[in-house]
Order: sequence, then C-alpha cells, then structure tokens
Amino acid sequence: MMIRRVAPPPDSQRGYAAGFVTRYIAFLIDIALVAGVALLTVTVARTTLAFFGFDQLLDYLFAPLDLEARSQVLSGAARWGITVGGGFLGFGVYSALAWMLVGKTVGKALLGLRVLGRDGRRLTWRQAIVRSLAYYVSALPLFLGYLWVLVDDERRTWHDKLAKTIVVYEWDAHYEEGLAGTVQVLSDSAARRQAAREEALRLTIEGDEATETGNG
Amino acid sequence: MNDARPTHEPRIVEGVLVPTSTPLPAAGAPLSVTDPEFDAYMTIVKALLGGAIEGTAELARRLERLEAEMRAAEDGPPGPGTVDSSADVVRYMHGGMVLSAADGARQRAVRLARTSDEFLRLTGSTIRPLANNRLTGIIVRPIDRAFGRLVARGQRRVDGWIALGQTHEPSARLLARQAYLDILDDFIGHLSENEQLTTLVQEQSVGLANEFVEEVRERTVSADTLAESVVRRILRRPPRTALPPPEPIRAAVAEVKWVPRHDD
Repeated sequence: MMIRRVAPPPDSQRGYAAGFVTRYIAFLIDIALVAGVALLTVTVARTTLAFFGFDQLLDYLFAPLDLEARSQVLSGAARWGITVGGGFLGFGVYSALAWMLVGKTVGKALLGLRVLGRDGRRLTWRQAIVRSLAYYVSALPLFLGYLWVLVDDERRTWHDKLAKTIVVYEWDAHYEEGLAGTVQVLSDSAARRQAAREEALRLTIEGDEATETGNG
Repeated sequence: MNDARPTHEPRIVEGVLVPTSTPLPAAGAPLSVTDPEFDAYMTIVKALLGGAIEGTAELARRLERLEAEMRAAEDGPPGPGTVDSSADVVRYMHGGMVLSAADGARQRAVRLARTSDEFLRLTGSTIRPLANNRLTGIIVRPIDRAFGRLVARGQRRVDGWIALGQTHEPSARLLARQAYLDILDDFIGHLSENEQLTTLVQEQSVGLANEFVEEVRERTVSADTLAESVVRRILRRPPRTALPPPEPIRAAVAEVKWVPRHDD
C-alpha cells in the first residue's frame, strides 16, 4: 500500500482560509459542547456527593449558605467566579489540546476546518496557548478581533495574527448551488466597483499630471 | 409406538359442536397448507380469538399490577385534581359522565338479565294453569310446547357455544401466544441476519448524516463570502482576492488515499 495525494477538483477551496460564518458556527458548537460536558460533570458530582451523604459539602458548594447577607453575596460571587473561570479555563484547555493533537476541535471538524501554523504545520504548544489566551484579547473590544475576519485579506483574526496561525477548509469546499449565483453577482458587482474606482483614480492622476505639465 | 393420535376434539359444523373420531396426523408430521385436515380459516379465527383473549388478559394483569403499585406507593394514589379554569370544570364533567355511563351500563346489563329471568318465571307461572286446564289447554298447550321447544333449542345452541369455547379457548390462546412469539423471533432473526437490510440501514444512516453535514458546510461556505461581500461593501473596501494557498498548507490539507502498490 502507498499514500497518494488526490488533487482537488478545480472549483475546490480546499486549503483556502475559512470565512467568518463557518468559524462562528464551529465556535458555537464548541461552546455548546464544553457547556454540556460541564453541566454533566456538575450533575454527576452533585449526585455522587448526595449518594454518599456529603450533605454539608453539597450545601456549601451548591446551596445558599445560612450566613449574613454580605457573606452570602460574597459566596455567591465567588461561586459564580469559580463557575465562569472554570468554564473559560476548561474551554481554553480543550481548544489548545485539540489544536495541538489533531489540529481541530469538534466544532471545526464538523464544519471541515483545520487550524494550522503559517508554515502548514500543526500548532506547537506555545502557539496553542498563545492562540487560546488571545481569544480574550480578540473578545475584549466588543469582539472586534473576531470580526476582523470579515475585512482581513487573509481572513485572519487577531488571535490568528498573534499566534501566527490560519484556519483553512480541509474539505473540497464549494458554494451551495442555490447561493452560488448570488455570490457570483456580489463578486462581479464588487469587481466592477473596484475597476471603476481604479479608473477614476487613474483619470485623476492623469489629470493632475496634465495640469502639472501645462503649468510647467 | 403408535404416533397417530386419536382425537376426541370436536368439530364445528354449522356453528354447533360435533364430536369426531378422525385421527389427527402423527406428532411431528409436517402439515401443509393443502392438507385437508388443516383449516386455515378456522385456525386464523382461532388465532385472532386467542390473541384478543390473551391480549386482554395481559392488559388486565398489567393494569391490576399498576393499580396495586399505585395503592402501595408512599404518597398513596393521586388526590383530586385542581380547578384553575372553566376548561378544567368542563373536562372534569366529561370525565365524570364517561365513568358514570360505564358504571350505569354494567348495572343495566345485570338488571336486564334479572328482568329476563323474572319475565320467564312470570309467563311460565301464568301459562301453566292455562295449559293444565282441560278447556284452555287445547289452545295453550301446543303454544306452550312450541315455546318450550324454542327455548330448548336456544339452550342447546348456547350450551354448544359454551362447550365450543371451553374446548377451543385454551388451544386458541396457546396458538396465539406461540404464533406471536414465533413471529417475533422470526422477525428479529430476519432483521439481524439479513445482511442487505443491515447494510442498507447503516449506509442510509451514514449517507444521510454525510449529506446533512455537506449541506451545512456548503451553506456556511457561501455565507462566508456573502457576509464578507456585504461588510466590505458597507465599509467601502475593495473585494478580497482569494489567492491560492501556499504549498505547505495545500500539502497539509490534501486529501490522502491509500492505494495498493503494483507489487502488492
């Protein structure tokens, strides 16, 4: 047996950078997955503690404490902090491990995406950690770092740029038949507008040059 | 050892039970559809009857068990329902009507049977003096005899039905139970052993899942470009030119297939 690399079909976008919608849906799938697993873990932990009769510990962890109002607020805030922090940490660890080991998370695998270094190699642990932490950098200014994919020529987010990575389609990506026409119309229209803009710019430059020559 | 089993199992002729001395075929001997002893119609009727009786008995057993469990539960049976709206009142009224009608029908059936007995006894005691009287007996006695014959005939018919049911019910129930189990076993066996069916189910499931995933992917790829075009138009940015990916990335995501070498 031998390995043979199959050439993609001509209209395939295999290896091209993935766009915002695909990446956003993959991200949502991953969040839902991590949240589901976290919920399951908490439920199992709670049931196990209840089964073995650790009622006091259970009350301390999950039920409001019978303390002063101030302490209650503090304990509630601490509990929320632990929950949210644990969620972020869990998501970060899950993502980083998945990128390092297989180059994709579950959501990305479903949507046919892969995270690669700029050199086409799988992410190093350093790149994975930087990318994972840089998620929050991208999210801080109202998720501008994520939305950057829409305007970046290389379709890279801020965390991609910080970690020197790229997210590409790893399947023979092509447009859906019903939407292919709309995509084509938009592309043609944009191309025409760009051509008109360049033509206007050229005429302006020529006009300026003619004026300069006349003055000279 | 004589395998031919002499039978005393009666037969049904014109709805009446008739004993027969025809021996049944030997135990284990194959019975074919064309065998004159095999009455497919009556067997199916018996199987249906057995199925109905067995099914009802099983349902009754389960209901009895459920009710016993409900009574034995710590909380006891559920208490009366609450009335939150006029719709609840109408629903309760209809439920009550149905329960009341069912109980009423049972009581009326019992009363009808008692009335029928009463009527027969009354008419018998009224007619007997008339039949015994020499003068009126001339007219009434033949009518009384004819009525007696009619009643006796009806009684014989009912007795025949009782005997018929008594004889055939156990075998009908056994037949239904056995047929149900056999059919179920055969059906499950057929499903598990039929390779075509198994392959079809697996391929269909995998095929449908793949098709769904591909459809979603195609749509998201289109949506990527659409969203990008709209945003770029709003921001008055030039359209993005999708340059082909560099070679290392293309190699990293290239579709790889295992192919047999010529010398394999």
